[in-house]
Amino acid sequence: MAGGRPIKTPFGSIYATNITPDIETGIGAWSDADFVRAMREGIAPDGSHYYPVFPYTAFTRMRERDLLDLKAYLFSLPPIRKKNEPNALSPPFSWRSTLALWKVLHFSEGEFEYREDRSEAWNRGAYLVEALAHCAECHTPRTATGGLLVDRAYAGSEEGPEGESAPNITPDKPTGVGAWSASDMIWYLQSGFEPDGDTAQGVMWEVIEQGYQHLSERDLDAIAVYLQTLKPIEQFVGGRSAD
Amino acid sequence: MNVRLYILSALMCCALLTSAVRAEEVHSAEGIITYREKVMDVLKYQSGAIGAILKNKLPYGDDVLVHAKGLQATSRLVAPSFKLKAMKDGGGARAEIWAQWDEYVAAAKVLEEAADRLVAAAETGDTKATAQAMRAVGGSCSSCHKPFRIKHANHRH
Ligand code: HEC
Ligand code: HEC
Repeated sequence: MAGGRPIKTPFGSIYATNITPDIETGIGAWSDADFVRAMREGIAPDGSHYYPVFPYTAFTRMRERDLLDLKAYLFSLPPIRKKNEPNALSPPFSWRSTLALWKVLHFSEGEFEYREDRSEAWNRGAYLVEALAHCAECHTPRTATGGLLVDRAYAGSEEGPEGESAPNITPDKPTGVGAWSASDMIWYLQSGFEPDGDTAQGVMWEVIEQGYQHLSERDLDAIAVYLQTLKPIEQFVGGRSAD
Repeated sequence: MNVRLYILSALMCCALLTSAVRAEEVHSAEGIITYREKVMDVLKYQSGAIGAILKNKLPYGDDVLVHAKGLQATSRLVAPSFKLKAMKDGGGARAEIWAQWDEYVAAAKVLEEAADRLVAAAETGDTKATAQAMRAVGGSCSSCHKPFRIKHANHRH
């Protein structure tokens, strides 16, 4: 939570920021409005722009009440004094001002909208996947400038975080997870066990262990329902896996 | 020591040495790797079978216990089957296994204990507790794979 863990991106390393409530080095001095603005719009209280690895492109879909609950949770943690590391990015990505441009190109701000023509479970799943679990941050391929390729959503990315490739999770049968049932997906997000009994590895195991595993069965079922309605895209991702 | 005895003992030493080298050569790297991969595959199949019953809520609780005991027995082979060091290009094992052997054995022990708890839970017939114990088994597999295994894309599903 105190940050400092480098997140490797194809453009260089970015250090996760200190999000403990320390007044000087963390977010302890942030108001509710500061917090909501940072999460929704990717803008820090001093007006500077955040790098997109801070997944505000996904958090922007979060409801205000959920954001404030998250802030209350973070503020209940012990504050840790730790200066943020300077980021090691290669130009033009090291120029923070280019981020304003990047956001115009790739970022659509806006809270999640409920779809009446879909089931309750689907809507819940959509909200969880798009706003909270940010599966797309790893599983959607990116453009040369690092934006998500929206029309190839969830089709897998050769250059995921930490340099690991993240597979295609659209319902395409030969190259995606079209052969997985909803219960396969739920069990995978609970235990890391793939349908054949092999195990999740690398950053996927980390997000299961630290996050998805703790979701309720109802939420995991909603995620599975939503994923099964994604557009199937044929794309084999054969890049380097976790090592 | 007279000269003949000296030569004799030197010869015997040589003979012992060559036989030791021979004994090493008998184990081809390919054979060592195939065996330990089969041990892992047994774990995979047992886990796949248990998972298929649990996640689909099939009424086969007794079968879960059989697979759990199989997994428990196989868990005891995870450390011994890696004792002989062997690696190949594009293989799944990292050199850290032998460089940090004690940590590797400790990671295997975590699986052994998780498998013991799985058997205990399966014996009670409580599916919820069994599923919980199986999730811990999954955690012990992944926690060892993270530092010690290279998973290739052709292992994806
Ligand atoms: C931090 C990056 C990251 C996030 C976030 C992430 N994944 Fe993954 N995911 C990966 C990687 C990397 C793999 C490959 C893991 C492996 O090789 O075992 C993977 C594997 C998978 C697989 C296995 C696919 C296969 O063919 O074996 C599924 C299913 C999956 N993820 C679903 C999800 C879902 C659903 C979410 C959101 C709830 C999600 N992932 C979020 C990185 C991520
Ligand atoms: C103590 C460490 C350790 C534990 C615990 C462990 N594994 Fe492994 N596993 C490895 C290593 C190392 C490899 C790579 C071996 C190689 O390719 O030479 C591997 C490879 C595998 C493979 C690929 C085998 C192949 O045919 O190439 C599967 C499948 C697998 N493990 C499943 C499991 C499952 C399921 C569990 C838990 C029930 C588990 N493993 C527990 C260390 C471990």
